[in-house]
Amino acid sequence: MRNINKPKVTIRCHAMYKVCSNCIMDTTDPNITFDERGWCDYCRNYYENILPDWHPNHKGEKILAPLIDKIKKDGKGRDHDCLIGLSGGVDSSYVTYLAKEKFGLRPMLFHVDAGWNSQEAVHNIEKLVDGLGLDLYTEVIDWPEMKDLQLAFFKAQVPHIDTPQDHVFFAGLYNFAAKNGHKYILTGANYSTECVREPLEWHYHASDLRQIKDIHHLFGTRPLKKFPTADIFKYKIYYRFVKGVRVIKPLNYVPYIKEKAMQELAERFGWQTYPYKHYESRFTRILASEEVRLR
Amino acid sequence: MRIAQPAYDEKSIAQDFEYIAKKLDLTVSELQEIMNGENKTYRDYKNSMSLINFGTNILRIAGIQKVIIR
Repeated sequence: MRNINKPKVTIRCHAMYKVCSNCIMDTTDPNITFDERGWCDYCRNYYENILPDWHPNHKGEKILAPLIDKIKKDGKGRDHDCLIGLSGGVDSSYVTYLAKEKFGLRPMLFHVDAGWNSQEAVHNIEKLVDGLGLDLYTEVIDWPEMKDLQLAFFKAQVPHIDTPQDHVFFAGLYNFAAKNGHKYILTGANYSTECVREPLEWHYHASDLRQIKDIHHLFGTRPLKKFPTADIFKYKIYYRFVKGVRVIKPLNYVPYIKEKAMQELAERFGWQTYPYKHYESRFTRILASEEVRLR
Repeated sequence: MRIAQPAYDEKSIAQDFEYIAKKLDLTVSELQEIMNGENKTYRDYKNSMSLINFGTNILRIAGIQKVIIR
């Protein structure tokens, strides 16, 4: 019903299949645009907006070095100088390893258990904690509430069904940092494995609390009392400027090749490699497989 | 091409599907029914997209954010 008055352009786009001449994105994304070279807007975004700011080399080292010094200086007298969100996947595991061994930081590790951890993830967290001798805090999410919100997202029929898990990972981390006076959060976010983001139609912002509340209000069955939440505005404005919490993404300033990183972690810690993206969670690995199937 | 291959083997996918259904107190066919249902997007529910866009535009004008998310 809602689509009756949509412009004809959308229909034309669907009818005319086209794939980017530089990558594999195609008109499966109805809002994709192509330039005269046949390049899609994702490629243009990459070359114009991402690549010029990505320095996995000597230049990155020079940007990172003073930042590491500042983290160490600000952390003097504290038990830990930074906080790292660790899922057990390769990105966050590698950041943990770099922080301790290469940067000489004294991180505290923070893990959110939202109920879907794969056996590999649990194993890898154990190996890293033991191998590096670091402190780990695990926040276990109340399962009845997690399940209720998860079911609500399924019933809402939206594609971004990993929102409850995604939200709680970051909300848990940011809330913990703000509450305990951590000024620096290191995350495994990186351009090397996740630089061109899928369209919002496929994967909406997990940080939009208004959407989460509406979907839960419509399809949930019990109140969310213990479930950690942090709206995008809360952490981007309140936590950043009032609480002084900074998020740093070190993997964008060093050479980071996923396969090599996995191999290094396996050799060094007995870390268990996994074949595909998002294998650290049994929930997201099947979501990733369904996404591939649909596209 | 890699994208044309299943993300992992069909048997494990079926096992994970069953595991997820069970853990959410659904039967496999109930979960399958949800998967087969009519697709919706974030636009079908309340969202802060206009406020997020407003914030992003400020960051873009200030030169802090360059990457486009759409």
